[in-house]
Amino acid sequence: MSLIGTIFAIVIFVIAYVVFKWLIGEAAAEWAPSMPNAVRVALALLFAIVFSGIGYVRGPLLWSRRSL
Amino acid sequence: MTNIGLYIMASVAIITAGVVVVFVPAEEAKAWAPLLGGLIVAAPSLYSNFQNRAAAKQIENVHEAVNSGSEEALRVKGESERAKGISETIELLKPAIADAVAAERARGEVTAERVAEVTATNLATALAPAPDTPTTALRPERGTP
Repeated sequence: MSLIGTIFAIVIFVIAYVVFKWLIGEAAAEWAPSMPNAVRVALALLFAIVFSGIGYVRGPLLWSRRSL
Repeated sequence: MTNIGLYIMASVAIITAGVVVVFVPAEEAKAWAPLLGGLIVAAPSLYSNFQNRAAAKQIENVHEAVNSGSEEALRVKGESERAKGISETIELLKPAIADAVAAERARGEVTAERVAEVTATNLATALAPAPDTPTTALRPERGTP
Protein backbone atom coordinates (compact mmCIF):
# COMPACT_ATOMS: atom_id res chain seq x y z
CA MET A 1 0.00 0.00 0.00
CA SER A 2 1.61 3.22 -1.12
CA LEU A 3 1.62 6.50 0.76
CA ILE A 4 0.33 8.48 -2.20
CA GLY A 5 -2.47 5.95 -2.74
CA THR A 6 -3.48 6.19 0.91
CA ILE A 7 -3.45 9.99 0.79
CA PHE A 8 -5.52 9.83 -2.38
CA ALA A 9 -8.10 7.57 -0.70
CA ILE A 10 -8.26 9.87 2.33
CA VAL A 11 -8.81 12.87 0.06
CA ILE A 12 -11.58 10.97 -1.74
CA PHE A 13 -13.15 10.12 1.61
CA VAL A 14 -13.03 13.72 2.86
CA ILE A 15 -14.54 15.11 -0.34
CA ALA A 16 -17.26 12.46 -0.32
CA TYR A 17 -17.96 13.12 3.36
CA VAL A 18 -18.40 16.84 2.76
CA VAL A 19 -20.60 16.30 -0.31
CA PHE A 20 -22.79 13.76 1.48
CA LYS A 21 -23.04 16.04 4.49
CA TRP A 22 -24.44 18.79 2.30
CA LEU A 23 -26.60 16.47 0.24
CA ILE A 24 -28.17 14.08 2.77
CA GLY A 25 -26.46 14.91 6.07
CA GLU A 26 -26.75 17.48 8.80
CA ALA A 27 -26.14 20.44 6.50
CA ALA A 28 -28.78 19.39 3.98
CA ALA A 29 -31.29 21.87 5.37
CA GLU A 30 -28.93 24.77 4.71
CA TRP A 31 -28.32 23.88 1.06
CA ALA A 32 -31.40 23.93 -1.17
CA PRO A 33 -33.97 23.26 1.54
CA SER A 34 -36.76 22.95 -0.99
CA MET A 35 -35.11 20.09 -2.85
CA PRO A 36 -37.08 16.83 -2.53
CA ASN A 37 -35.46 13.97 -0.67
CA ALA A 38 -35.71 11.70 -3.69
CA VAL A 39 -33.62 14.13 -5.73
CA ARG A 40 -31.08 14.40 -2.91
CA VAL A 41 -30.74 10.61 -2.69
CA ALA A 42 -30.51 10.30 -6.46
CA LEU A 43 -27.77 12.93 -6.57
CA ALA A 44 -25.96 11.20 -3.70
CA LEU A 45 -26.09 7.85 -5.48
CA LEU A 46 -24.89 9.40 -8.74
CA PHE A 47 -22.04 11.11 -6.93
CA ALA A 48 -21.14 7.85 -5.13
CA ILE A 49 -21.02 5.85 -8.36
CA VAL A 50 -19.05 8.46 -10.32
CA PHE A 51 -16.63 9.36 -7.56
CA SER A 52 -15.93 5.76 -6.54
CA GLY A 53 -15.20 5.04 -10.21
CA ILE A 54 -12.82 7.99 -10.34
CA GLY A 55 -11.10 6.71 -7.19
CA TYR A 56 -10.81 3.23 -8.62
CA VAL A 57 -9.38 4.35 -11.96
CA ARG A 58 -7.38 7.42 -11.00
CA GLY A 59 -5.57 5.81 -8.05
CA PRO A 60 -3.74 3.25 -10.21
CA LEU A 61 -2.75 6.01 -12.61
CA LEU A 62 -1.14 7.96 -9.77
CA TRP A 63 0.56 4.85 -8.52
CA SER A 64 1.77 3.68 -11.92
CA ARG A 65 3.19 7.13 -12.71
CA ARG A 66 5.46 6.81 -9.68
CA SER A 67 6.55 3.22 -9.97
CA LEU A 68 6.63 2.19 -13.63
CA MET B 1 -10.26 -6.00 -9.33
CA THR B 2 -12.19 -7.29 -12.28
CA ASN B 3 -15.17 -5.51 -13.78
CA ILE B 4 -17.44 -8.00 -12.02
CA GLY B 5 -15.86 -6.99 -8.70
CA LEU B 6 -16.46 -3.33 -9.49
CA TYR B 7 -20.10 -4.03 -10.34
CA ILE B 8 -20.52 -5.97 -7.10
CA MET B 9 -19.00 -3.10 -5.12
CA ALA B 10 -21.24 -0.55 -6.85
CA SER B 11 -24.27 -2.77 -6.23
CA VAL B 12 -23.38 -3.08 -2.55
CA ALA B 13 -23.04 0.70 -2.33
CA ILE B 14 -26.40 1.28 -4.02
CA ILE B 15 -28.18 -1.37 -1.92
CA THR B 16 -26.64 0.01 1.27
CA ALA B 17 -27.69 3.53 0.38
CA GLY B 18 -31.18 2.27 -0.50
CA VAL B 19 -31.52 0.42 2.80
CA VAL B 20 -30.38 3.54 4.65
CA VAL B 21 -32.87 5.72 2.82
CA VAL B 22 -35.83 3.35 3.12
CA PHE B 23 -35.47 1.87 6.58
CA VAL B 24 -33.61 4.46 8.63
CA PRO B 25 -35.45 7.64 9.63
CA ALA B 26 -33.91 10.65 7.97
CA GLU B 27 -33.14 12.49 11.19
CA GLU B 28 -31.12 9.57 12.59
CA ALA B 29 -29.34 8.94 9.33
CA LYS B 30 -28.17 12.52 8.96
CA ALA B 31 -25.46 12.04 11.55
CA TRP B 32 -23.72 9.02 10.13
CA ALA B 33 -24.92 8.76 6.52
CA PRO B 34 -22.15 11.08 5.23
CA LEU B 35 -19.56 9.00 7.08
CA LEU B 36 -20.89 5.75 5.63
CA GLY B 37 -21.14 7.29 2.17
CA GLY B 38 -17.58 8.57 2.36
CA LEU B 39 -16.31 5.13 3.34
CA ILE B 40 -18.24 3.50 0.51
CA VAL B 41 -16.89 5.97 -2.02
CA ALA B 42 -13.30 5.71 -0.78
CA ALA B 43 -13.36 1.90 -0.69
CA PRO B 44 -12.61 1.34 -4.42
CA SER B 45 -9.59 3.65 -4.35
CA LEU B 46 -8.27 1.86 -1.26
CA TYR B 47 -8.86 -1.49 -2.91
CA SER B 48 -7.10 -0.43 -6.11
CA ASN B 49 -4.27 0.88 -3.95
CA PHE B 50 -3.80 -2.57 -2.42
CA GLN B 51 -4.13 -4.17 -5.83
CA ASN B 52 -1.54 -1.90 -7.40
CA ARG B 53 0.85 -2.46 -4.54
CA ALA B 54 0.69 -6.16 -5.40
CA ALA B 55 1.19 -5.35 -9.08
CA ALA B 56 4.18 -3.16 -8.26
CA LYS B 57 5.63 -6.00 -6.20
CA GLN B 58 5.27 -8.29 -9.20
CA ILE B 59 7.02 -5.70 -11.37
CA GLU B 60 9.86 -5.51 -8.84
CA ASN B 61 10.13 -9.30 -8.99
CA VAL B 62 10.33 -9.15 -12.78
CA HIS B 63 13.03 -6.47 -12.58
CA GLU B 64 15.00 -8.57 -10.12
CA ALA B 65 14.67 -11.61 -12.39
CA VAL B 66 15.85 -9.58 -15.38
CA ASN B 67 18.78 -8.19 -13.42
CA SER B 68 19.83 -11.59 -12.15
CA GLY B 69 19.42 -12.94 -15.68
CA SER B 70 21.67 -10.22 -17.06
CA GLU B 71 24.26 -10.95 -14.35
CA GLU B 72 24.14 -14.61 -15.33
CA ALA B 73 24.50 -13.64 -18.98
CA LEU B 74 27.53 -11.49 -18.13
CA ARG B 75 29.06 -14.37 -16.19
CA VAL B 76 28.50 -16.77 -19.08
CA LYS B 77 29.94 -14.19 -21.47
CA GLY B 78 32.99 -13.81 -19.25
CA GLU B 79 33.51 -17.57 -19.13
CA SER B 80 33.08 -17.74 -22.88
CA GLU B 81 35.68 -15.04 -23.43
CA ARG B 82 38.02 -16.75 -21.00
CA ALA B 83 37.57 -20.05 -22.84
CA LYS B 84 38.17 -18.24 -26.10
CA GLY B 85 41.39 -16.83 -24.69
CA ILE B 86 42.49 -20.28 -23.57
CA SER B 87 41.76 -21.77 -26.98
CA GLU B 88 43.68 -18.94 -28.66
CA THR B 89 46.61 -19.64 -26.35
CA ILE B 90 46.45 -23.32 -27.25
CA GLU B 91 46.44 -22.38 -30.93
CA LEU B 92 49.55 -20.30 -30.29
CA LEU B 93 51.18 -23.17 -28.45
CA LYS B 94 50.47 -25.77 -31.11
CA PRO B 95 53.26 -24.77 -33.56
CA ALA B 96 55.76 -24.37 -30.74
CA ILE B 97 54.88 -27.83 -29.44
CA ALA B 98 55.01 -29.27 -32.95
CA ASP B 99 58.46 -27.73 -33.49
CA ALA B 100 59.63 -29.14 -30.17
CA VAL B 101 58.30 -32.59 -31.00
CA ALA B 102 59.96 -32.49 -34.43
CA ALA B 103 63.27 -31.40 -32.91
CA GLU B 104 63.14 -34.12 -30.29
CA ARG B 105 62.16 -36.72 -32.89
CA ALA B 106 65.18 -35.69 -34.94
CA ARG B 107 67.31 -36.26 -31.85
CA GLY B 108 65.85 -39.77 -31.60
CA GLU B 109 63.83 -39.75 -28.36
CA VAL B 110 60.61 -37.89 -27.59
CA THR B 111 59.69 -37.40 -23.95
CA ALA B 112 57.04 -35.13 -22.49
CA GLU B 113 59.53 -33.40 -20.21
CA ARG B 114 61.89 -32.55 -23.06
CA VAL B 115 59.04 -31.40 -25.29
CA ALA B 116 57.85 -29.13 -22.51
CA GLU B 117 61.33 -27.72 -21.95
CA VAL B 118 61.96 -27.13 -25.65
CA THR B 119 58.52 -25.61 -26.10
CA ALA B 120 59.12 -23.24 -23.23
CA THR B 121 62.51 -22.29 -24.68
CA ASN B 122 61.05 -21.73 -28.12
CA LEU B 123 58.25 -19.58 -26.71
CA ALA B 124 60.65 -17.58 -24.58
CA THR B 125 62.82 -16.94 -27.61
CA ALA B 126 59.85 -16.02 -29.77
CA LEU B 127 58.29 -13.74 -27.17
CA ALA B 128 61.54 -12.07 -26.09
CA PRO B 129 61.46 -8.33 -26.67
CA ALA B 130 63.42 -7.12 -29.62
CA PRO B 131 66.55 -5.12 -28.89
CA ASP B 132 66.02 -1.39 -28.72
CA THR B 133 66.40 0.06 -32.16
CA PRO B 134 65.49 3.63 -32.97
CA THR B 135 62.62 3.55 -35.37
CA THR B 136 62.17 7.26 -35.88
CA ALA B 137 64.80 9.87 -36.37
CA LEU B 138 64.80 12.79 -34.00
CA ARG B 139 63.47 15.96 -35.48
CA PRO B 140 65.82 18.91 -35.49
CA GLU B 141 64.77 21.57 -33.06
CA ARG B 142 63.15 24.63 -34.48
CA GLY B 143 65.45 27.49 -35.13
CA THR B 144 68.55 25.38 -35.58
CA PRO B 145 70.21 25.88 -38.91
